[in-house]
Amino acid sequence: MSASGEARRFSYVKLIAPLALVLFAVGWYQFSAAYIPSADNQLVASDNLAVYVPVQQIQGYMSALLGATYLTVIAGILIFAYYLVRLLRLRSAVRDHRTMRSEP
Amino acid sequence: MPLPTMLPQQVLPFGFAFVYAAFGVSGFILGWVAQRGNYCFVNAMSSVFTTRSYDRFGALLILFGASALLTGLLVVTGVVPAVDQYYDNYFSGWYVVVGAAIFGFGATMAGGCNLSMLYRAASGYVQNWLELAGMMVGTYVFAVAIWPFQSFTMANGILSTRLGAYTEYLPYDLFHSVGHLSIGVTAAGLGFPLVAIGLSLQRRTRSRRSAHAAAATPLTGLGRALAAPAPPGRVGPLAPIGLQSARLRLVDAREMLLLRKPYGANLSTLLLAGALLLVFVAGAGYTFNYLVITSSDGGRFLEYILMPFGVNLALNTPWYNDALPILDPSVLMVVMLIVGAFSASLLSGDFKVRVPHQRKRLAVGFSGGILVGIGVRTALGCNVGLMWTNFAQLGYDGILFLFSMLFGVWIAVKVQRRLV
Amino acid sequence: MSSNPSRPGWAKADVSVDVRGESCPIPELTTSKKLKEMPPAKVLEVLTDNQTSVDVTLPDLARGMGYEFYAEKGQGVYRFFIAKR
Repeated sequence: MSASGEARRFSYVKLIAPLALVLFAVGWYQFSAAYIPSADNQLVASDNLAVYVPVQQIQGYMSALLGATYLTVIAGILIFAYYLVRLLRLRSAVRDHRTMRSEP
Repeated sequence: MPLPTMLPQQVLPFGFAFVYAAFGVSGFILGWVAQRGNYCFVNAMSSVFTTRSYDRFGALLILFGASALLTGLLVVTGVVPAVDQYYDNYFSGWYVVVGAAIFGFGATMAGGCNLSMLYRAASGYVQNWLELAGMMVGTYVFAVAIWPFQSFTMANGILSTRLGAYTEYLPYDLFHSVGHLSIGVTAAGLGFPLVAIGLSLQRRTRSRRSAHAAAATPLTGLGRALAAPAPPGRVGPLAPIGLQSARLRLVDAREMLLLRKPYGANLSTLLLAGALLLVFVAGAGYTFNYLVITSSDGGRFLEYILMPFGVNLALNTPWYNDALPILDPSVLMVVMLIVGAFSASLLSGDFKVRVPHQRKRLAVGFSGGILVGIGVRTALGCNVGLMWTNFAQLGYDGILFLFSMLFGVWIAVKVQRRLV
Repeated sequence: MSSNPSRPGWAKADVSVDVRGESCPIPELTTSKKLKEMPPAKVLEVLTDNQTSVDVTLPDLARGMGYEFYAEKGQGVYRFFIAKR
């Protein structure tokens, strides 16, 4: 396939999707920090220990989640950068090709 | 004779952060491998009825057998104490049979079991997004309408056992012992036949394929099409195993590493078994040390979605307030499953928002999801959390679930034939 | 869409069915139904974007019925040709 064909067919989903992944990872961490410990505390306050989770578990979850969030964000940014560079290279190749064709 | 101990023991003393991380890694592997291998329990079962292919169903049996053998081996060699294998063994009762049938029916109608629902949703299948939403609704319906009655029957032993744990542990049921010998014999007696049956079903399917290839006339080129390596621009299945050269296998391995070719069923099976073993060891003594999907995606995620609106289902809603801890390692496992499947789908170029051509499929997907939610909660687990897990637990609920789910899938295929 | 040079000569669609956006068991059930309705010596073209269908279930269906098949990938869509005898 020619560079111009590939550039025209480049799906911008490839650029948006890694950013969506980064947003999801950060959003999930923020949600977890904001709501899960307080929901757990509500169970203690209402004396429902059947589904209460000890604080060490919540802390363990948040530590592991923080690590997973960092890894996912880094991976998402790398994937975004890879596809962005690919798109820019395709466009540059198309521009060079047009320039060569227009020269006498 | 003293009863078996009910005190789980930790194998790895690294704390909950490590346990959650291990479940997260396992979830990522599950999602990635399931996406690359197109691993679907429903497809494996429905193929038996639609295309008369036992290849993927055979892979499922190999997965179950290998899981039983490997967890059994870890217990027999003393790496994992026996109590960590049977401690969380399920109750057994009418609900496993009924729930599995409803689940099999609903999952086939909706287009995916719990594992494939998540990886397909992460790959852009809109129908599976609706299936997931339906599952959350179905879980809530189960919680308020079915769980009070079901828990009553469980508490009173009405068509139900009352303890679970070692009473549902085949070594104890067969030999009244949880010693290494009884566990080893049971694991071998369960695992080896399953693997053998699985391989035999695969061999039978593949030899039938080769027979069709051999029977084709030279003019049609069917035999040439099957035997020759795929030329550029042509996609298709790998050549029958007996015709593959070592060079072709290396080419296929490279193509799989570069995400150009999907993983085969048996390779996926091996990797998924590894993911199970990871949590079996890491979670021993800390938590339910097996793979669980549906407690989180169908149960907790609805609970979490409502939290920002000031609603805490765990305070006063049946099932949410007595059977579902507010958090456990399956939460991170399922989140990383979605991340793994999404990453694999995106990097392989497979990600695409896919809307079914027939819009009625969206309604079928949502309704099927409701049945999935009701079915898995009634059965106390899904194809992963109960059926597959229970083989690793050396229990018998997995066997009940398997046959019951097959029945539900069979009925659904008949219904689907009328709807297409 | 321009035809792929590696496509065999017989792979020209007489009947076409579109199952894009669908996953198992819809592609194989729909294909099976169309094949039964079609007259013999015709070619069915199945449009799908589900890799499992192309790699596993549709080939199994075609083999089970003894029909020749060919698959190719275009832009975001697979074309699966089955020749009914």
